[in-house]
Amino acid sequence: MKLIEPKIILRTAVTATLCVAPFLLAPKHALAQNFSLSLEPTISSITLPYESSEKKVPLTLRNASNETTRLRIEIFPIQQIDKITGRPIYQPISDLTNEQQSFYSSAISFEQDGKKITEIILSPKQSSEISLKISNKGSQNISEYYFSVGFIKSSPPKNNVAQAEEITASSDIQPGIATHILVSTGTAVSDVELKSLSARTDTAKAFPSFDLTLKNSQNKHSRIYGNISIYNLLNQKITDYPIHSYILGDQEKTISLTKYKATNKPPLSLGINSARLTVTDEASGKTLTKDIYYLTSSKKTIAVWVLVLIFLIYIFYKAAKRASRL
Amino acid sequence: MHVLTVFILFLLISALLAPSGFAQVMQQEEYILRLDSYSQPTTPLPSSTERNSTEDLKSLPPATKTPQLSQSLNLSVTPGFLDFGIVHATNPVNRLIEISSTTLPGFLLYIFENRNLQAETSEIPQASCDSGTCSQSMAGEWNSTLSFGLGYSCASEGCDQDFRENHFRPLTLTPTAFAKPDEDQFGLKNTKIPLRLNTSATQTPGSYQNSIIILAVPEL
Repeated sequence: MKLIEPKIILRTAVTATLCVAPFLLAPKHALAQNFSLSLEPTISSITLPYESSEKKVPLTLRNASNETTRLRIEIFPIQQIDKITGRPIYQPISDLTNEQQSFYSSAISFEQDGKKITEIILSPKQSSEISLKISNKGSQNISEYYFSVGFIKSSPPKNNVAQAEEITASSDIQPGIATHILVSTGTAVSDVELKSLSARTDTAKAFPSFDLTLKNSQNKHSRIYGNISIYNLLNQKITDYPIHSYILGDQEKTISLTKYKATNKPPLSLGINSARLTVTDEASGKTLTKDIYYLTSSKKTIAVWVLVLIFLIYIFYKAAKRASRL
Repeated sequence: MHVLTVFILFLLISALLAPSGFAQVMQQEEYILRLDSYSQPTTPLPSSTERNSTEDLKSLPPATKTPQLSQSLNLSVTPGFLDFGIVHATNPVNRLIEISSTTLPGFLLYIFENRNLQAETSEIPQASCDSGTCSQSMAGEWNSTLSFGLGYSCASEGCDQDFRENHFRPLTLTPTAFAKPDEDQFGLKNTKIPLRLNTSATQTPGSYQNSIIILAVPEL
């Protein structure tokens, strides 16, 4: 039996070590940041009717990951909602008025088990309830506040190693999740009016989509609820699109109701459908209604109309033939 | 010919009677789909907090009394720490953040930084792009090596439309929406966020650091 030379063994060992070393020495922070968190509710509407009143909003967090997660809590004031996209646009902190700054710095705090907190640590699979405490001290002149509360994964600060002769740069990447808080401190009542309702049909599947534009002319946010019910040519109700949304004070909002919002898939229908909108402004109790008609133009519908046409032509042809015989 | 008439009549009657026949089956399909994806897109369902804050919910129609289901959100961001390495003046460094998520429809993705990239005595500005016209909400073309700063782009389905090739926005201190999950896809899959950093010859040497935050925000 031939023995392997020690030189070859040494060379192989060195080569293997060189190949494996980069993986062993690679920094651990290059790995992905896994963030798995549930947060309820996604929107909270609070009314503080009296000057000295105070309210607590429970927020429930659950760490669904297998690692302990440290979350810092941050507040992001909402400036407005984008009219076209419907997205919240956040206000730069430098643009806040003194009154707003006072509200966000002194009227809002977070508590866990009765103690004030600015961050929360969640063990793997742990659920925890914290309270968002709001008081309206010093906020007599402004009646509406909209903001988001963000829970952002914190990582320990990195050592700032100065490089005297060259430029190096690095960034911590931190994932987070937010919930919206809508606060009213005044006594104003919202006034929502309907600006427009239109239907769009999907030529492939006959699923209608709706664009509903509502305007709130008062400086008081409003919750609206209701639905759009779809009726076919025979006036049979075929599906509902539930509506539940918020219109911020003095804002216009377009709500897009796509096929995914329907309670069930609208079945094949022949041509003209009707959509009946019924929405209620919760604060004022005002109900808005509107009926619109739209033409479904799916391939199936077109096929049925073609068959109807062929049938009618056939009847006319037959009648004409009989008449010519007579 | 009578057979043809009967056949056509049969087709017409079948089509007319189809609605009640298909509805139950399709409802079941749709229900399963929605259960997996349950979120409150543009029309969030009432939560327990909302119920407490507003007493008059007894009058709500049945459609809005759907039970509250928990919002579950998974974000996996790679890397957790982004190293630009040594940055040479007028030589842009490109890096990539990847987000794989089971983000449900109804969430938007926002991005911001806690501060500009900062060393002991100086900082690297936010990107201004080629013509200096890119802004927090509008991406601009960035090809020139003489444009400096830190900027980001977005290169996946669901990204805002102003993110064309080589178009960047500056990273700012205020959260800004840059992507919306497509309702068809039930979540963004592997959203790519290219980052570009370029410095001028006058940039003070040092170790520049900051934090970049990716925030999932429900639609309002």
